[in-house]
Amino acid sequence: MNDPIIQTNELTKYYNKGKANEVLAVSGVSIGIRRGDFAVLKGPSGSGKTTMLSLLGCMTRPTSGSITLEGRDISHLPERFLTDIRRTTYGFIFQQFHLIQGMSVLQNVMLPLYPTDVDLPKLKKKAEGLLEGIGMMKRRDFPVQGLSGGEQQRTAIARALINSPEIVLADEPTAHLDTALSRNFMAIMKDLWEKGKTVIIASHDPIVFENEYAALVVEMRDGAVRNVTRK
Amino acid sequence: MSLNSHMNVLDFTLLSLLRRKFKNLGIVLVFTFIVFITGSILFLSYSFKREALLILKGSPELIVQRMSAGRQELIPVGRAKEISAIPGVSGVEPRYWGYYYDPLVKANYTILASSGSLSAGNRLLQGRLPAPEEKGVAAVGRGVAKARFIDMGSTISLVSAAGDAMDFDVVGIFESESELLTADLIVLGRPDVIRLFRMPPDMATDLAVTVRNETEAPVIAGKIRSRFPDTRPILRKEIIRTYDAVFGWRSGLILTLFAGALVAFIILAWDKATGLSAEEKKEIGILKAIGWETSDIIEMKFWEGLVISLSSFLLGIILAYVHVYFFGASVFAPALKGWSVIYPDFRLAPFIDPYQIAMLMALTVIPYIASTIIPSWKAAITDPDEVVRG
Repeated sequence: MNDPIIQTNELTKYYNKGKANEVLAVSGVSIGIRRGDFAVLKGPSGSGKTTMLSLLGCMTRPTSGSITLEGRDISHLPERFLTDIRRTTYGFIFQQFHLIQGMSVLQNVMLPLYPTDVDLPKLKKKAEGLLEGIGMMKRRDFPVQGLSGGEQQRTAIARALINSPEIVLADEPTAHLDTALSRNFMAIMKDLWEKGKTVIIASHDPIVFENEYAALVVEMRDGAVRNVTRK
Repeated sequence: MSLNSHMNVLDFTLLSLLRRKFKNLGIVLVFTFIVFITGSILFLSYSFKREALLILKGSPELIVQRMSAGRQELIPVGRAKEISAIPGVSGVEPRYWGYYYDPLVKANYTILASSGSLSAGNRLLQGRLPAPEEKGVAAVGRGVAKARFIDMGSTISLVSAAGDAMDFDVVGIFESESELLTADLIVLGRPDVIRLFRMPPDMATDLAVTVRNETEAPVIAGKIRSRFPDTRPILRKEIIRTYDAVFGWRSGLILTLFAGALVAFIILAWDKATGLSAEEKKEIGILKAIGWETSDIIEMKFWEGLVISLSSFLLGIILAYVHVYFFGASVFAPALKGWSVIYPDFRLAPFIDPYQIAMLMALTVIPYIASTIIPSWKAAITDPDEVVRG
């Protein structure tokens, strides 16, 4: 139980390396996240939280250093293996929600599993179950561009959960929400965490990093880890 | 990937196409228009060539005309006997024919004297052909009958070169495999043709020569030319080549005029090939980020390109077919037929060259699918991280 599900070692990420606009986004980060952790990456804008979340979520590869997922080094896997990990292990909630415009709530939730061999009727049923769980069933056939910010985020949460992921990643999830909706979001995250999911959130919002169940808070600044607090 | 996953991706593709229905409808319209125009030109020129071949199928291997000052003149019938004596010649028949402009309906007719060999390639829809020496009767093509509102038993009046009105009882109406062959045709007895055109006695329009061995025709033509230096023997093969060149040239001319539209289509395809909209790129990034593989995205884009291009292609081809064979290619026929302004209307027999259709499909559908897939592939191989960063 206490073995890290994700372990990074001297993780470093440059953007545009060797060019005039080179940026060092993450520098030598070594952290361990345990299975069932509620982890928060905390820090101001430009501190490297989002890049760190991308690296952990197999959205990009590190320039140097390594990431192990359940003991397996995934730092330099070919793209199709990383895609497979994203599809089977992770559920990602984006800061801008990133729902597909013009499609309904239900279709957006079903989206990650379209290119799999799951039957569409079964997939639809599962998506409806998730929408029911987050109180969005009434909006299932609405086009997503007509939803409020809170509703869009709940749709994004349902989409992140459609593949029954072990790890849920969220990038600045409360940035576009008012206090009440932010608390709502945290309640959903708490519920997932209590069901055994590993939750990793990047945020600079106190509602997120000051909550009592955030077992691990990693404070970042200028791409490096400044402080790690484990409760 | 299982069949289910392919069906799911196809399902998503259709949803995706419906989301941008106005944009996609616009592309379908432009694509259909291009295929319609190109398909019409191909159908029309191919049908003309086939019609010409049908006309020539029953014609003699050799036609001998007399030339004077570079123009065709009537030829003495007496030369038929001398030509018959050339080894390899199986028969020579004087032909009496000419063109007649009908100011009533502003159409040009072909007037031909009835002969034994005439009925070989033509069938009469109704009635009979005039006998070679019969007077006062005519068999007419469907184009003539339609233009003059005449039927079996009606009378058709023509004005002779001497200015006399000549009435003919219609005893037959033509049906032919090629309507181009008989649409403008009026067949009369030989004495009536001679009188109508005021032809001198013992003169014919030209001589039709049949030979025993077709490969010998050029040699026989050479012998005729050396015996009668003022004649022009025309080989059937040469006529076929000329038809081919004329219709090939005419369709090429229209295609050149149409090049502007083609260029617009190429620009559209190029625009698609060189870049996706920011929204499309973002969507590809989202799909990658939530677990779609690059191959899934390429498959989706393949379906998207195929659905749009194939449906546009089929629609364009069907419209071109209807346009050419049901509406007489009203848009292009004047340019392709050339002399059609004074020609009675006729309907083309449907001839389709599968090779041409396959070529047109290869030149429109495949580039379009490629122009859909390539930029999407380029977008799909970039890190989904860019989407996460907004």
